[in-house]
Amino acid sequence: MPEPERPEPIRRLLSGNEACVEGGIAAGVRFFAGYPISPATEIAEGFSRRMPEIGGRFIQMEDELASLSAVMGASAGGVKALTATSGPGFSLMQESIGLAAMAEIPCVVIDVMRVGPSSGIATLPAQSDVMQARWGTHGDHPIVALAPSTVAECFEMTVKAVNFSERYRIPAVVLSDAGIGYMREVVSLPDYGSLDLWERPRPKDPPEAKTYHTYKPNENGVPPLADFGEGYAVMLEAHVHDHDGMPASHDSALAEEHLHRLLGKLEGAAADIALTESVDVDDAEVLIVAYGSVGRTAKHAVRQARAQGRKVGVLRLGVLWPFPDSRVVEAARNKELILVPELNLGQIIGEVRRATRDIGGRVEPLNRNDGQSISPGAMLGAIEALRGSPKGESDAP
Amino acid sequence: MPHDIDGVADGPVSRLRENGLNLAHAPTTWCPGCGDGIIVQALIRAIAAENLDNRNVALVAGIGCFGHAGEYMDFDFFHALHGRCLATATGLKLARPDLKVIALVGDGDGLAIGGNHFIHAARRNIDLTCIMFNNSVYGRTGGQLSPTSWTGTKLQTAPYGMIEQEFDPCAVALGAGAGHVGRITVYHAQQMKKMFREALRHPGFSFTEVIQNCHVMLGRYNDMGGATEMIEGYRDRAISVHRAKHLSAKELEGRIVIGTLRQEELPELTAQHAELGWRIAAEKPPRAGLSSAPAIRPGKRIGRCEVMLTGTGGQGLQLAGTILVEAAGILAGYEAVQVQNYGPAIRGGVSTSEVVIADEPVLHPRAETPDVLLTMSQAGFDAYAGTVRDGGFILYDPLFVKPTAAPAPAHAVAMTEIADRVGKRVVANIVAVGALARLMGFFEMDRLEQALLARVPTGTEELNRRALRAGYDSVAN
Repeated sequence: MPEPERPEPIRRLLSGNEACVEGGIAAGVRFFAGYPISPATEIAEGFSRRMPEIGGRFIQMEDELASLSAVMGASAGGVKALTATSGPGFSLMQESIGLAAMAEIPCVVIDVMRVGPSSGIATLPAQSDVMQARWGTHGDHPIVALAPSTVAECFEMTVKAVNFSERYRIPAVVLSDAGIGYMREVVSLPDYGSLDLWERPRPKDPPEAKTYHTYKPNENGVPPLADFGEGYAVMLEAHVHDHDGMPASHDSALAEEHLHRLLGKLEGAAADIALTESVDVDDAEVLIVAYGSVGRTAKHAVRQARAQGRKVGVLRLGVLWPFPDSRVVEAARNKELILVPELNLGQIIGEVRRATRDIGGRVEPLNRNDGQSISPGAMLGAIEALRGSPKGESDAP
Repeated sequence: MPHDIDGVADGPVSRLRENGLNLAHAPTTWCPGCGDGIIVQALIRAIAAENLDNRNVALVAGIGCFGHAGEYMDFDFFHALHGRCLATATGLKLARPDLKVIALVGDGDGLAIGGNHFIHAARRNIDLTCIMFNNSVYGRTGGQLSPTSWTGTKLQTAPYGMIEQEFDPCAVALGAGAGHVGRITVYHAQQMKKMFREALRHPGFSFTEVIQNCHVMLGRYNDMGGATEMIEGYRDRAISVHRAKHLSAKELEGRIVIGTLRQEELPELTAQHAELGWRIAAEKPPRAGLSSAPAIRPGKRIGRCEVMLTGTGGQGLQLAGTILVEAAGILAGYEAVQVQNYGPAIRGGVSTSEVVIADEPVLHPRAETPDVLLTMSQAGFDAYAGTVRDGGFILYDPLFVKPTAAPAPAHAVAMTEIADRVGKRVVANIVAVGALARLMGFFEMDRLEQALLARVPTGTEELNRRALRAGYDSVAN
């Protein structure tokens, strides 16, 4: 396959969706299967143009059920693979996310969130799928979900999602939204060759050694994954299984070990994955915890507040799952008020409250789900109003 | 039983083991008398007879009793989701066209929950060898109706008899355009192997339906006897496709037509993809838009400048915003962001394009209190005139806008009229860009022109350049 060529320009005007395409390509993705859905369609369109240029494959499947299945098929063949969708399509993919977690097949879903449920407002931004990304599929399972705030981060986080998914053999999600997806920003893309790309662990012994077991974990708890077509007789299995991939539904000890190992893969990786940004947090009296497009607006609000001498800081969450508990606790300590603005009626705030319950902060929501953004003024106004009303008087959920 | 006319890869189980049968996990999950084992045998023998390298053979299966087949063979095996076998196999084959990918589906798995994938795999003609284990019942879950359960059959979810009409899987495959379609039963083990060989050789989507007994979940509730009786029934009812040709529909009632129903080479998907790649490599498409090396520093500090462009969908305001953003952000080195409306949703409706240009990275990307409002529609004026910040200004096309109150200084520029004069009404948006840029004061004309020319269609450069100049000249600095 020809080497990926970075699109000529170094400084370019790109939309968030276009940056996801370039991020995928830079991360080594050479297979995309998807289905059109606003506001994610430009990602499919971008891959349909770019894949044939660099020896990759693009296919528009018959639905989202097929899309993520095809992505997993390609991944089994050893090719980094990705799909993109929005809320309703993400729902259709949830079954496959369970399989990716259980059978440990690296794959990435970019979910460009819009107002839901159902057809909702198909072209306007929301942060509707935060909990769907965590618990949309059935059963306990590991997952990583990243939330870009800028067009540049759409690029970077797509690279990271591919990296995480490969190294830990897990499904990974990029939770973009219609705001960032459609927004165009002048960005400087890095040299693709300079990126730190992670590969899935692969077996060290040749197939003839007969030492390979599809699900025998390495020292990090991640089983090396051989590509199909090398002679290892890989067995990717959807049932609870033993080290060979043989279903072991009747062996409860084995089932317990297996399911715990799946979750444990990310425990050791917490430091790798805890992507957060703190701005003016240390001396802040009020902390805003925000992510995605709201995160950049929160930084704007903090800049305004500081200019007026008000001690407001922001913890921006680049990763939502696994939830960065310790970063949140660290930032939230000794704050008078913690405001959690979200483009939904309160999803991540539950996690913030859970994480901070032992340090006793006052955590309040600021929600909007009509497709419009929360302005910096609205954030600062909410802070003023809340500081004027003692705890308990607001009708927070 | 006739001899194996191919003369290879037949014989005792030990030969099967050499060729890919793996009994490490025996006994199998299947009931005694089940036809699944017969199909697995025939498949292994066919693969061996075709001299395929086992390393290059990959199995993908859906969910059902048959889906466990891969556990008893030494090939790469992907036990996929219920119904999703063909979608998974499509991804694998497309990513790895060097592999021989065999897709095992059931009747419910392949035609009910996976029916959509089935018709599209056939339509695309991707080189997959699809084998359907058709026992006309959901055996694994205890005997519920399947889309191939024939009318009248008693099933756990049709206790009074199936009242729906059944699918003929081969007819579905043919209707969806499959190039190679065949039907066989588990009684005809030798012919099955032969048909599998033919299917494996076919360069495109091949579909082989194997009719098999499920005496446990279907036969015993429908007076069909045990395994032997059911399999002998297939022998008695089978008729070759060649003989069937001469019989009427009435004469064929109750018979099972076996053999190859269609064999035709059609354009194959993975080959077409490869060709596409070569073609694209030969003629790389041009890229729209601008590029520049980084490190240009902006000449003049501007703080944060918000621009709201509004009008009617189709007036070209997204393009106008893009030209401003690229001229400022790429050529002049400012930070720049554009928030676009979603094109298809706004044609003819109120269209907005928000541009923020600043010295520092733009955080909140919206033009909520614009420094500049450009409007080419009354609705746009009415909605946004009041949002312009103190010290800002409005630019409007008097053809469309009658300014009501004047919350900010409002300049009329006859964009459409100027565009008509320059040559074409469609460049009114570019006239507007020229006027805006002059009034905003920090754009350099040559950079603006460079940004413009990078975005407009070939052949329209001169017209657009004239429009930009005319707009620029139409306002006093």
